[in-house]
Amino acid sequence: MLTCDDYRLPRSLKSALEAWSKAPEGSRLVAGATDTLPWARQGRAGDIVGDVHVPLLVDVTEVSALDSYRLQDDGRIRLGANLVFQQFLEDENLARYLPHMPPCALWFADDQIRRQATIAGNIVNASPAADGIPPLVALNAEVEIASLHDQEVVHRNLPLVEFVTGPGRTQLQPGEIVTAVTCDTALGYGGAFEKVGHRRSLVISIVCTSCCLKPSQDHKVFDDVRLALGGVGPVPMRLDDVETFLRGQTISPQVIAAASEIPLDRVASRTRREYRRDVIRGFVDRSIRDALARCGISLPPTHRPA
Amino acid sequence: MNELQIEFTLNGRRIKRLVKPYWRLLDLLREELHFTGTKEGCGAGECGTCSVFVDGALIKSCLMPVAKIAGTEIQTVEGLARRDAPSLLQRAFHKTGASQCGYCIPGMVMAATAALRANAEADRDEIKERLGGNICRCTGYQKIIDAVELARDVINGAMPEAALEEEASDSFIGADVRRIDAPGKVTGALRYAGDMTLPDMLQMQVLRSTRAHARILSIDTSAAAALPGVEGVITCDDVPGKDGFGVFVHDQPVMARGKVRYVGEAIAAVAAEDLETAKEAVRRIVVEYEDLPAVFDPEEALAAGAPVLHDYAPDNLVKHIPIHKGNVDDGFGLADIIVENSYTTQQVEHAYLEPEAGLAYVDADGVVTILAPDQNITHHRHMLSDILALPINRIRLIMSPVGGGFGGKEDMIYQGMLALMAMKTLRPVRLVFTREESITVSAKRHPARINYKMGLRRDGRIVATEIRAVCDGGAYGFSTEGVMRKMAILGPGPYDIPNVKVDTYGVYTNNTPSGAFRTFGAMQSQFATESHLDLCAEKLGMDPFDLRKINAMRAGSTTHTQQSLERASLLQAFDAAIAASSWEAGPPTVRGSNRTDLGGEGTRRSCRLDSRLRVEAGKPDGTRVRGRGMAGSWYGIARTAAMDRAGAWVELDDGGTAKVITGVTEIGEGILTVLAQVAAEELGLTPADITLGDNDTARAPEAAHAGATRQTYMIANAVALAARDARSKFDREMAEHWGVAQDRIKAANGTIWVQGSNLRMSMAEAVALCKTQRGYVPVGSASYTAHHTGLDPVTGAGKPWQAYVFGCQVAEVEVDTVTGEVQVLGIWAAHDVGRAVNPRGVEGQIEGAVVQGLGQALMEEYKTVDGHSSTDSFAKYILPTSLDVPQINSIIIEDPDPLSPLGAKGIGEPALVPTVPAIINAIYDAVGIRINSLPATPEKVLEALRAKRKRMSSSEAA
Repeated sequence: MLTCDDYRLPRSLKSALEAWSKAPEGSRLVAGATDTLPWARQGRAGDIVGDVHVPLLVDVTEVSALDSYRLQDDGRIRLGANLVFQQFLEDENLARYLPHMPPCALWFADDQIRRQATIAGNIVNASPAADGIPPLVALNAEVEIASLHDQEVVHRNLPLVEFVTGPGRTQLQPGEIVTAVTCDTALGYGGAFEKVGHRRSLVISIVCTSCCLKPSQDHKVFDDVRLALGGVGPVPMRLDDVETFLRGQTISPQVIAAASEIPLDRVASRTRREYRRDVIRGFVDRSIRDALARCGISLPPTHRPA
Repeated sequence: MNELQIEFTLNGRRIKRLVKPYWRLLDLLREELHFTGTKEGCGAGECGTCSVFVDGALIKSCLMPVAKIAGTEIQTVEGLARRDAPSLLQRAFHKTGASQCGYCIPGMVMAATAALRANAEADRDEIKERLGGNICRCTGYQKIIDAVELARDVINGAMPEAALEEEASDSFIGADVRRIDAPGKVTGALRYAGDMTLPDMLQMQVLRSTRAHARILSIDTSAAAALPGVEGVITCDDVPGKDGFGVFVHDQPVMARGKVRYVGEAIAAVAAEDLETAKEAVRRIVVEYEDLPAVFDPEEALAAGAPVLHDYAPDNLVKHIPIHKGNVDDGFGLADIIVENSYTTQQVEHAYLEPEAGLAYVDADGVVTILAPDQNITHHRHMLSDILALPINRIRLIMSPVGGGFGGKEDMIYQGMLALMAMKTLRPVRLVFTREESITVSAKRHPARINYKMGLRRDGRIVATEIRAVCDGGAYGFSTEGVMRKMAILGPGPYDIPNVKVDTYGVYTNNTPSGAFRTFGAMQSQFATESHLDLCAEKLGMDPFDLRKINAMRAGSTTHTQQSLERASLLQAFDAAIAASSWEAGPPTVRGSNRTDLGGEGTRRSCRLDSRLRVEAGKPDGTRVRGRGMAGSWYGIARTAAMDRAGAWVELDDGGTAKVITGVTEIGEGILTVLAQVAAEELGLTPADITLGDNDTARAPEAAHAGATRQTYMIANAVALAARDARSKFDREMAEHWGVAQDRIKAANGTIWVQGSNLRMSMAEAVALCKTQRGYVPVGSASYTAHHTGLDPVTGAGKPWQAYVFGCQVAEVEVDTVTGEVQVLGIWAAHDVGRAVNPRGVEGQIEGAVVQGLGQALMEEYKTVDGHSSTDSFAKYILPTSLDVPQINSIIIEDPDPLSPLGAKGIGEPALVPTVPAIINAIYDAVGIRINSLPATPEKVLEALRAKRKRMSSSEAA
């Protein structure tokens, strides 16, 4: 298990940044702690008796500036770092603006961990299989990062796709804390999330796909489509080529089938490549259909040989 | 270290405590406040046994740093209701039989409470989703979900509160008597070994091997022993007697002696005043290794020149079991078709939710006492007597409540260390495994590689079966010999075959050991047989039931070990499964898409995780395909090819109650309730009047282990006979008192009377009369014997069991051709149990077995890389959740055993045997791919579909 010499729960961003910037080497920042505590066990980071010792744990969950969400003047939404995944299921307003997040949240861990696990934690943990990242990547998410300079809190922003640089690796610098994620809103869009693991609850993604899209008013063409994949490479990936292909296209099974062929070469995982290619094709197809269905558009099946 | 002062409310009471900064809420609850209803199953948020409410939100307390709870209100299972007045939901769990071993149950009750608090109208799918973070290994979830639905309906007024009460019944045998141990489990009151503390207790930790095969050049424990707070360090040098344990061969030292043979093997143990000190001491032990060549593949281990693990077995062979009947070469000569195939099964972890734990102390009389969730205290006492060089009655084992066993707690992997440490320190010691320790150290289900050859006549008669199975036994013998034996005896299936040749080989490797696991080898070989029969049925164009019926064992059939069967209920099981599932007859030729028997009332809806979404998902797009498969099975009851026996004592006690004392091992299956029912019925009392004694080698007669599906058969019969003995003596006294013939004395439900008269009194009055006026204490005793014989070492001929059970399961699956995921939507399970003492308990066993089978069929796989476990947590070792399980339709067949006083046989293991092949055959029916290598993971299914498409396109091109 994880042991430490000290545990601090600062209440303001500034005091959190102070504690974090002065934290001894090896200290950890936590929010929900749902990734950190399992990490510190035998067979993962734990030593011969299954322990990890760190000097200090800085817990940011009491920092109220990181809570909640708000719509910005530029039409984007700002999700506080401490927003937990269960909120996407329980806050109907949030679900209207981010319609692909409730199905993502249902697949995310379980009801209990979702009450602890934060959006920023999922991003900073930077797992290639993170379920929370693809839906945000598809909405041009930016990560808001705070640090202290001359005792003043300063912020910088980075696109999420650039922030995550590899498995467990981000551009976060020592002393920095993620304070929020901002992204486009998708009001009036249909949302879908597909995931496969080895069971249907509390499971790590082998592949996941997030989709939200907006059909034209007459339901004939795709006005906008946002697609992203998780689990298929070192970092989550936006399918901008598929989005470009679909935007303005007629909504039809043939078009969707053609679109789902496009991303197959994007699989960069070192393992299970063939499998992931097969799944992506089907997931792109299925997630578009599900998202369309949630806009009231139902399509006939394309026959696929078993 | 900066300790934290925190204040919070726990179950309505204000609490203030100084805590260590790194404690989790779970540590505070359990270790500091002794609220042990909250369990630790994994420590990583992966099982749900530690769920508690924090400010009304359910969370996993192993994932909550304690600093976070300052100022909050915590509610634990103890706070839901007083345990003498359980909540409606807890009562519903009691009613439906939702608790078996009970270890997951407090967490499950919390999750169910949260579900109904969140939505009092939640439907079955939503309940399953909301319970998706809580793992249960015993029940198969069905009765848990039933309980939540029942509670919901009572809360909403759709059902009367009386629905939570037990149905009245005159007879207790055959009635759904509620489990007598459930109240303590649903309220969290029951304490398992890891929940117990003793005054002045030390904490023990074990240093384990990091090498798969190495000579130990030296062990330096001096730095550990010098650490303040360390009270004892032990190694193999502390063993006073003959070091060695195992079920069939005592090849494993209590701690490594001279060399280590697998990663995780115990090398030394430390006891200290607290856990932190014990861990620090373990870190300070220095072991100097010299690596030896290791072998990780059983076939390679059998080859000449392979590294040798044990000097006594230079060929690395633990055991070869041959079963030879007739002449297979002659048989194949008569065959119209010969079908050959190979099958492999994986290593499987028991994954009981309670990790191994135990306490030991030396009592005032010098008796070394060990309290542990131990499936076989009888045998462990024997072995410890040799190891500790003590007379057998100076060793006492007491079984603590077992939080799931499934065979995995038959092995004495830590009790020896506990005993040695208690003897060395003369203080109580406690050892609690972590989940990772439990997974990497305990024995697994044997992985098997099976080569299969079957010859059949055109009409479907099997004329010869040849099976060769090579199994990885891992580093030590454990139960390998017995597993090889049962795998061989039952391997060709419940079919009358004139020519049989079976050879099973258990082999030493440097992998995690394999041992006893529910079915003891029978599922591996019968998975191959039942898969193979589907292949044959397709080639012959026959319905899979028809092919099996032609060959089915009947009364008068001769088994593969040349035993003549007096009874056989296989055809009944087939007919029951066909009827219950409305099976549409036809050969297994990928009929899935054309079947008309799919999606019926015995199935559940496909899981889409959308019960809480206010918008609908897309319509079916043709990518999910359904199919059905079936499999038959058989099983032998009680200890294999050896005399089995069990004893019991019964005393009719004051107040019209009774003490029943027997060394029974309740591991969650419900045997205590069965015994209470049997004793009540035989004594004329009610189950509530029965006091069951602990399983304690110093206080109860031998009834041996929980295993081999033997407890109802052996121990319930022993209790029935002992009760009859006590009753007969009691009736004799009462007959003399009343001056009537003894055969006119009757008793039931706490009343005793003389038939055909108005002489009657309560049993309470009668016992008082018997004692005070007759001067007689009514005690009885009995032993029950199952007369089994050993097998001939060359032909395997013999009578391994006197009672056999037969079964059949039908599975309906949905294969997602996009992901390769398989969902099992329905299982129809028809099983002969002889006589169902508690039908609801029988269903619970079937449901739990089916879900373990499902796990093995689809997702579970214990893996090692060069002997190092790569699946050492519940994040990587994947178990079925509430969202993965089918609707399970149990059909109980009662073909009483004439040699059993109760007629009852058993069900614990047999129900697991046919599940895997039924699912695998159903996958074939759906999409035309045959998974010969378990498990059928999504990757494997898609790979097979890809290969099939390639085959089809190349054959079209040709």
